[in-house]
Amino acid sequence: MPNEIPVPDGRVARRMLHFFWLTDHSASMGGKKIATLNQAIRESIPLIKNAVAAHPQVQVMMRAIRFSDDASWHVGPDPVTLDQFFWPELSSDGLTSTARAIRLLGTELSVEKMPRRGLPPVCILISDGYCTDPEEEYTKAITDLNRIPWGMKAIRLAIAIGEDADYNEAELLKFVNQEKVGLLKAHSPEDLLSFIKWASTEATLSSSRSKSKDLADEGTNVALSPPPPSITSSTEPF
Amino acid sequence: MDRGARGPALCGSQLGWAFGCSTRGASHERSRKPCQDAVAIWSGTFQAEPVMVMAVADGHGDRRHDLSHRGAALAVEAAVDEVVQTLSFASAGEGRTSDAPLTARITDRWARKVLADAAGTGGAPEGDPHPVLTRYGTTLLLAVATRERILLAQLGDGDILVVRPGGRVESPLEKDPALLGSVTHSLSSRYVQECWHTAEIPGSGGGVLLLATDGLSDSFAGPGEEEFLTFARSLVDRIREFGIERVAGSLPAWLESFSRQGSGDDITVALAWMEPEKAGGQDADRAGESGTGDTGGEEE
Repeated sequence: MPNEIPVPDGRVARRMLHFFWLTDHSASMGGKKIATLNQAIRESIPLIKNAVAAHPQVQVMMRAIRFSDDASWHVGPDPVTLDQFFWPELSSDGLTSTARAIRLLGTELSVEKMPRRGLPPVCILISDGYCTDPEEEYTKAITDLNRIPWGMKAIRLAIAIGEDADYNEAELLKFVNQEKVGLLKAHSPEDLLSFIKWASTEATLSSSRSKSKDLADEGTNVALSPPPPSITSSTEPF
Repeated sequence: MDRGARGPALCGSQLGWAFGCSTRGASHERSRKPCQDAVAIWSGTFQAEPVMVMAVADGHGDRRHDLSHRGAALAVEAAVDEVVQTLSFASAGEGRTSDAPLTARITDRWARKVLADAAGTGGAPEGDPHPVLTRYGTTLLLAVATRERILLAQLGDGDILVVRPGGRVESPLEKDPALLGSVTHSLSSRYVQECWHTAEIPGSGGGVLLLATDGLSDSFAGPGEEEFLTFARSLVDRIREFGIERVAGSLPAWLESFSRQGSGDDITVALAWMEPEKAGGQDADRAGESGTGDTGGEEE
């Protein structure tokens, strides 16, 4: 029996799924809101791990952008694997620089930084208020994001926290590109916990399951179904 | 005219050796889906000139393309049939049956095969054939090699590389910037003829011509192509050291492990080992100079 031929060189790797949290930690997020957000993101990590266990070809790489007076990396800029991901406690202070957070996200979604044949990135924006950056900056950040190929193809979801009058629904909806899901409105800590878990696992799963399709017939890269009604029942409001 | 030999098994000709194989993706094994890739190789002679034809196809796999495994099989069949018929007519001095380009004739032949297949299963359309063609949607990569030149055609994702004897890797067809993520061009597209990319390179110089579905390059670390190109060069080193026959024997297990540890996708490869003296005998570097899309590599 002849000796086996060594496998040709070249580093083999699983397909990357880049996941971005964009979390508001302005002063209005204080108290129950920030506490629930910290808890929900921590609790969602094992759920995401379980969800992708059925897709071992997928390597989820996670990052987080926090925004208040400015936007900065909470976890990043280097992405970390799910196994290494740890959510540092986020405290509340300052204003709501949503536009800057979206611009920071856009720099990481450029085709130079993302694998061309990677899976659609997942981006979840969580906020309880109005963007305090000038309106034209927010509009420009969204326009630019929509021009970046991976910005268009990403699964973009937003969770609004509090009473409807507390946040700018139209503004947050501009970030969302999942028509059937729309804006996820968390009126209570229970809602927020449920939405963060649902959005993070469903978006990750949908991206992992994406199959080749004809470019000419394609609408959005991946389309999520709405959340089940049972998770939108609220108890005590914020 | 020699009618030639078909099939993915190792086949030889005056040009060199060709081999192809498909492996079902690890994710398809888990979900008990069939391999949606296909490969066909034909080798023969026309007017005493050796010709090798290689085709690989990758059925899309999305829900809307539920018969794409059949579409891929019919695509490689249509490509080889059309090339062989064209060469047969040419060698008999009969000219072509149509003035349309080869890629358009392959597309038409594929569509006819699909509609016949659908009719056989009771799914033939009465009006617009597009919904049926969509169910069979697939990519297609084709190479037709003679001593003088190699014709290449690509529709959708996948890779066509030439690794010259000096180790230089050429990508004669540029990557389509529109193909990002999981989307690809399709034989079933209404705009299919605008989506083909073609190139012609010298056959001289020898080396390895590699056609692969995207499951292969997706299995290598990114974001660039460097690791995949390292694999391509190393594959040629293995052929040189151990011979094409032993490499052909090892390739299915390698592809299986790449799918398991990498993309999880089906992987299909067709490769031709063209020895310089058999493929025209010119200097490899001179041949490379006239190629396009050189991706670097060490020179001997």
